[in-house]
Amino acid sequence: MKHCKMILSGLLTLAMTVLFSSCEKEVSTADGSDGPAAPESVSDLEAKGWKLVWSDEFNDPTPDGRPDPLNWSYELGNSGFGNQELQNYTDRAENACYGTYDGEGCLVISALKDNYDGITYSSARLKTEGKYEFKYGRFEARMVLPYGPGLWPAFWLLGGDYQENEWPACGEIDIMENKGYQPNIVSSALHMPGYSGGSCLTQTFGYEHRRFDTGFHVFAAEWDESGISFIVDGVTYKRIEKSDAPEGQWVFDHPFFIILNVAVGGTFGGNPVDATYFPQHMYVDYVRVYQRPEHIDPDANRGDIDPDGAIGGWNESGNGGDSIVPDKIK
Amino acid sequence: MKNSILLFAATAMTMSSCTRALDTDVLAAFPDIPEVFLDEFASDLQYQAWGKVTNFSIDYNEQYEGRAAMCIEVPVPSDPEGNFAGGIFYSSSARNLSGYDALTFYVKSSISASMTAGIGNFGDTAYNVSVENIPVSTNWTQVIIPIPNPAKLTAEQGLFYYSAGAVDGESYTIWIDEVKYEKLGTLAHTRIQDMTMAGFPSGDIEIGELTVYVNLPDGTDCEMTASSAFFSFESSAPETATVENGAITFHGGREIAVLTPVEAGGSITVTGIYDFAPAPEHEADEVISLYCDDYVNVLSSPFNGYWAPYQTTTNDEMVLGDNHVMHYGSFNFVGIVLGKDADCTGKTHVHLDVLLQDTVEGQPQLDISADINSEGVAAGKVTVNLETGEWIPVDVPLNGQTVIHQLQLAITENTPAYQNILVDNIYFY
Repeated sequence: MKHCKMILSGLLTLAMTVLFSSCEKEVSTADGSDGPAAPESVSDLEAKGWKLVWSDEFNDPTPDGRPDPLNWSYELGNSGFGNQELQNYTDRAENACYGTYDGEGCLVISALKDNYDGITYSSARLKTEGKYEFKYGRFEARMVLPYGPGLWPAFWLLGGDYQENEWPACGEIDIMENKGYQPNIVSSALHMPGYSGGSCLTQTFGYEHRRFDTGFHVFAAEWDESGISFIVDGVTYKRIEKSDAPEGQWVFDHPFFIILNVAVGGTFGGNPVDATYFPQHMYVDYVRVYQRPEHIDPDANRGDIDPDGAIGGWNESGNGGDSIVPDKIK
Repeated sequence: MKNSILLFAATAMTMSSCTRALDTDVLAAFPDIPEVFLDEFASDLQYQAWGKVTNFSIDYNEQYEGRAAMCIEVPVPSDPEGNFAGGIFYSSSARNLSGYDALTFYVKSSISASMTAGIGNFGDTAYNVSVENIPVSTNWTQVIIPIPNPAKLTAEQGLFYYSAGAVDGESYTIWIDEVKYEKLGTLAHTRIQDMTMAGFPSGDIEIGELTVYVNLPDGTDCEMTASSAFFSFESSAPETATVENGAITFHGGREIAVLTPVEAGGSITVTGIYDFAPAPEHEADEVISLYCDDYVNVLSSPFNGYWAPYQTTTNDEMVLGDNHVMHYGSFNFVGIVLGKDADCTGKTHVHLDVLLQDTVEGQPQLDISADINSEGVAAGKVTVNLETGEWIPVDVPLNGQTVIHQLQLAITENTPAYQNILVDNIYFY
């Protein structure tokens, strides 16, 4: 999602293209006329062997109505982030705050055409880097997307070692990306050595008669030692196996952190047009991380959080029956 | 406004009787046929030409799909049979379109041009949709005409209308195919263009048509003109104003009211409640009136010269029963050019009342002159201080001049900027 194209590794690319479905050539579509399936609850998923290890339900605003600094920090600036993005990422309330959508408490990331600091567009990019990083698990967010040409919302994971192992060696898991001119289609992607930027491994998912900007949808990735599955509204539309990757290319066996952002412009979906309506908002009802019991790592980087204590509402030392589950997800 | 009240009463009676007579089973009796034109017209369809009556035919050599397409010959402006192509396809009975969210069709033309298309515009329908400046080219492209609130279209006769004019004086051909209603499911974010307006203690104002936006499947907004009747409105201050049947009714309250459509975003904000301008004190036979409800207006004017390139001022008349008030928005200056020069023999002044709507810091001012010709040679000129929400009487001396060509209203050099003023009671005495 976030980085410029890399020089292709021709033969490997060809081989991987055969192994994996490539960008947007296949669109999984669902009629969508009956509405999305009800999201799986925590208890549903725990019945399937998942343990909720962290979440931000965005139900209880902090005193200043801002994202909880224990969970989130901000990526700032207008560097273009290797993708010729146009927005200036800020930590202002105008760009990231608590709000509601259909009565649900939400994190609201707003892309504005406000010429803040002399830059046409402002927005926000929040991350759990240095606070919560996980290896393997189910990463899930319930969201309403912004819309319009030039909008580029994303829910994704970046390898926590990116400063030592420069991208794409650190790995990138894009759970959901959307091109604003396709409000009924989202995509997922893996970026790794040999398969990054415009040559990433990606798959689209679309609804024929429904959009992702008119109500909540659940986007998830289930990641384990053997591969990564991508899920929209309970439909697993893509699974990429580790065994499909050439030897040494798979870089998804270390902790990753979570990123939520709304980019404006750039190489993924192009720039806004005159008819693009601003302001645009991405509503995030919740972000949840589940893990299999065997993957829960008490030494994982959780910032200031006591690894022996409660983790985002779940008591690591307890079992499912002792879980402290936030009200909203009971 | 009496007509509006009567219309409202008639509508209320009609709706009342409909409520008794028409249950959902009866409404369902209207067919929900989606097709307008595929390779031929649906059986219930009739055509009425608006422009050149011979502009329309069916072409079996051009089609997007199937065997044929509609063919429209757009005439040159000088064509004695009609200077544009236009027409409407209507159902001889009616159709229930409430299950669809758009009218769609494919279009191409012999040269790059633009056209207007829409829904409604037939009979006494309250529901019109019009999309202007639809680009057409030599390639087939799909056009989507969104229905702002489909639930309203349970008995619609006007299924599809179009109009197009010559490009640079030249004629050309437009082909239209696969005209049908669809439930796309990928239209979203219907909103009306935000509006502000003045309010009054009593009376009704017809909302009429609104600028409406619907987001298309490509994420861009389709701008259209649509009847306000598509929407029901909630009021933030019902004691000030409410909306029923496309008209705003004022109830005497003075609180600012935000009128919000239930079925769409956007709003109409009544920014202030103002008394009507004071009634004039002159006898009718003492005045030559241009714009006053208490006199016979023997003079005429379009009330806005749209003097390019620097004028930003727009105008719209607010009609509340027997009261007419002229609103000027985005105000910088305006010329009120008389339809025919006024013979003001025996008159000494021209009078008008002006109200500033905006709240501004400093002393807002207005220059007003009465000119003897189009070059702006003033018979008399005054500068007045405006006060927010207050009618300011203005009397401009004619200084012995007997022929007046126009009035000019302009912000003064040092005035703080303002946007909206109301003007009433313009007459010579």
